[in-house]
Amino acid sequence: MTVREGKIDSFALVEVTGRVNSENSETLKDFLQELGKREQQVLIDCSALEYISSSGLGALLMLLKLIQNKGGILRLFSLSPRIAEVFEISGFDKFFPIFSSLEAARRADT
Amino acid sequence: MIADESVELKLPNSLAALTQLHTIVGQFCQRRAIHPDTEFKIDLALEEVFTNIVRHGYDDSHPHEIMIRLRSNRDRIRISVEDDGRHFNPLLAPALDVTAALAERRVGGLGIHLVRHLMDQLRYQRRPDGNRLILIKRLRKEEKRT
Repeated sequence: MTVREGKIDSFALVEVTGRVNSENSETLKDFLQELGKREQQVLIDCSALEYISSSGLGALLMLLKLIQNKGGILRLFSLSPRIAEVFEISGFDKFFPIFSSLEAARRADT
Repeated sequence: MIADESVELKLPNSLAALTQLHTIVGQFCQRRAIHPDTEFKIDLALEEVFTNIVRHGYDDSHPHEIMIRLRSNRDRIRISVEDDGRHFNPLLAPALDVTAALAERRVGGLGIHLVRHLMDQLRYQRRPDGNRLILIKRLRKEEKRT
């Protein structure tokens, strides 16, 4: 797993790649916790996310609560069909705004 | 016809063993020409089961072994996970309420919820010295070998 952070418009742009499992999800959680405290608007690029288990979903859920509690925006984009299915089974697709591309995610409210 | 195949591995009760588990599952599925979507589901279900055992199965801090057996035939893959931890039947765990509001959603219980939905059949056997969970995944038509 790798996590990279950049900036686009007023959004923090976070790319999570590879496999997020219960062995490395704490690293992701620590990163997202720090991000969630300082950022108001976040886009997460899932195009190279190959795998995520419940512990990784938990890290994303924590970030969503942090962002929503302060009225911010969190959007995910470019989920593979396999990852999208994990979100659906978990019921997380109802909580996370999910978009097909970076363009769709950044222009969702224009 | 490709013969039935089985693989057996003993892993320590450590999350660091997940990489080895993933590798073995990948090799097994590739040899059997299992569809990558099915391999993904097996990989994920097995991680959730293994992680639950490592995190919640033991009352002591001693090393333990978790035995995993993968077996496949033309129609299905059968995975057996045996541990010597405290007795726990995950099939009796209350169903996760996926309709709950965001504020009420917790991560606890999500793992077994995923396992239930990713696999076709689950069976639990209480053993004198621990637990055995059997996971069955039926193979899709296009990946059955003749």
